[in-house]
Amino acid sequence: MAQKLLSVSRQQDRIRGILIEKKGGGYFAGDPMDLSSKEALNSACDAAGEIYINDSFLSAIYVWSLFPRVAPKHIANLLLQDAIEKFQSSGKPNIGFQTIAEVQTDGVRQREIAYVAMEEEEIANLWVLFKKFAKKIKGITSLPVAIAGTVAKFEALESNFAVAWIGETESSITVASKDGIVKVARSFPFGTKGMDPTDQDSAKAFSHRVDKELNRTINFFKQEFREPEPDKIYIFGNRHLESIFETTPLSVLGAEFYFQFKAPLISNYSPEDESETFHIFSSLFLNHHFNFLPRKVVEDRMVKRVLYPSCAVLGIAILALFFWSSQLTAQVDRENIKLQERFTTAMQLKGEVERLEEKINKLEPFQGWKAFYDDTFNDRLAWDRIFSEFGRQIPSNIVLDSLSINPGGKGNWLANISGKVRAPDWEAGLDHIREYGAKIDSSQFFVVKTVNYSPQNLEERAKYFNFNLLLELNKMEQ
Amino acid sequence: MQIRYIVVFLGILVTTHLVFYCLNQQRAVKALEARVLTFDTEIHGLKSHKIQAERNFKRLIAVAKSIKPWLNTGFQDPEVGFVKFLDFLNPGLLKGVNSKVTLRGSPVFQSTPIPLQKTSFQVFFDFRYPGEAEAFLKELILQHDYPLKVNSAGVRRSEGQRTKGEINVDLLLPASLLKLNLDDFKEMGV
Repeated sequence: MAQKLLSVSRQQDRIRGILIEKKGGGYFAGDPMDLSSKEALNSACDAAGEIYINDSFLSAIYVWSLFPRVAPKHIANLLLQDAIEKFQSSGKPNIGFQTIAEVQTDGVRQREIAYVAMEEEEIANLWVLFKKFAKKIKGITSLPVAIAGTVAKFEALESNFAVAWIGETESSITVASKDGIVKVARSFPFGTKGMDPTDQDSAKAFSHRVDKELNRTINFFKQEFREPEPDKIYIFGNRHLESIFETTPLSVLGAEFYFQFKAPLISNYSPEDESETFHIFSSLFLNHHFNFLPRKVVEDRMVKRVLYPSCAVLGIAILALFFWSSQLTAQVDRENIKLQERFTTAMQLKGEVERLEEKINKLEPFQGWKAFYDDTFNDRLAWDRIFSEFGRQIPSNIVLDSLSINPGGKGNWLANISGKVRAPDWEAGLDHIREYGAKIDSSQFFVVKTVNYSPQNLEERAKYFNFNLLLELNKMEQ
Repeated sequence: MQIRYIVVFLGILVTTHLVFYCLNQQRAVKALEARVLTFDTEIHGLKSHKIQAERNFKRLIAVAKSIKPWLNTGFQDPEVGFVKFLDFLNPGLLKGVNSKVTLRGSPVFQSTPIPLQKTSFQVFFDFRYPGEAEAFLKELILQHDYPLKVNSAGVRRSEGQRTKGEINVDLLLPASLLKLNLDDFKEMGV
């Protein structure tokens, strides 16, 4: 369901309002209500989701002027000083402003700023009425700002324009820029009350008075701004205004008069209804630069705008940090358990290794004893069989001269045999030696390594040939 | 001061505290991880060390087992052992091969493979048949009472169908007794 917007206008303690719904791209408004009584105001405010208010704010001043070019943060203070001077008041006015342009005058860069200033007290008086619904109030502005802004928003404008709202006892004429920023605004205590549109004299007198006020305002504008008179003048208020001014035309030169919008703003209203309630629903279309919510409320909302998200961020951060810290605490616990396990394992292993080392240290001397045992008792040659083994292998034509047995240096034993072989010739001797070598080699005790063989005395009948055998001796099997 | 500002202040305080706590915990986790890693490395090293020690232990057990029966026979004081060896070289042993034993130098002490007293001897002998020499050498060298180490041996044809032999031996007598007792053997499974 679309949210209901309450648009309110207050003139001379009379409060009128309309509940408006925005749906399907258009505005649908209820009947205008008199909210001057507390009960009616509360009931309407209860029904609304958002409240927009405009007031005549007769004390308001509308300034459009050049100001020294200062840093943006100092503009508000600059305008405040200017407004205090203009008000001749010690109170701190509430100021809304909009920077229009930067201009260069006589080589000095200046800012063209439009501001509206009004007594904070006047706003406070209005605020008191709506205090109960303070959270719903989205905007408070002056009637001239509201009506100028509404016209500028919905009409295609190319230059300054004027908008006059004629109430029953009070009227307002505003000259504004094409953007709807007020340049001149006048309120005067005159209206349709007592005027009879059917009485020609009465209507004529009314027209003359409006014409006079309009011309006065436009002349003031022309003098003040040195600009041509507005070419478009919008007049809203009583539904008979158009016919009155047709009968007794207004005399502003070169201006076209409009009594309704080109296209309807409120979808379910007739142009006459729109004209009559224009000052009420125009609060909806206020220019936000000129929103005069009490300074304290703005500051409070600003604080809330910062505070609430900050609190949310803090809350989320705290939750996330709690979660993270719990994860980390669990991780620390896990790592501590791991560390304890590793420590226990390491200590266990260390103990086992130390016990083994101790045993090894005790057993270490056995290595020496083993070496000693091997040297003396274990790795021994078969001394009880070596010679008979040699003797068994020797053929009759071979004579051994010597046999020497020495350690080979690699834990083995080498035997060097020198002798003679008797043979008819060198080749036959070689054959005998080979035969002898093969016999020795077949023994389990010897392995022939090298053979040296040479003739001795070839002149003798019985020929002897020297030989030399190098054998490797196998150790005794234990 | 409004309560909301106090709440925000407390929130910031709690957040700051939590941030520092978490950072501290994170540092603690990293430090613990590093220590676990150090222990892992140490455990790895200890495991390899243990495997090596176990191998070494098994090898030494095998060594000990292989010489246990021999060790159980016991050894005597080197001086006593030396005198007994001289007694062992009695005329009966030497007569069959006309042998002569010469002491070479004085006894010396060695520290490896075990502390021992070494005495070098040169033994000369001659024989006609190999069996005579073998019987002599068997009795002299292949006995189990006196640790002898043969350094060299040689035989040479001599006159009258006899052969002369010479053998150089070291008598190695352990200078200190083995400290392990039978209980130690049992404890280590030898």
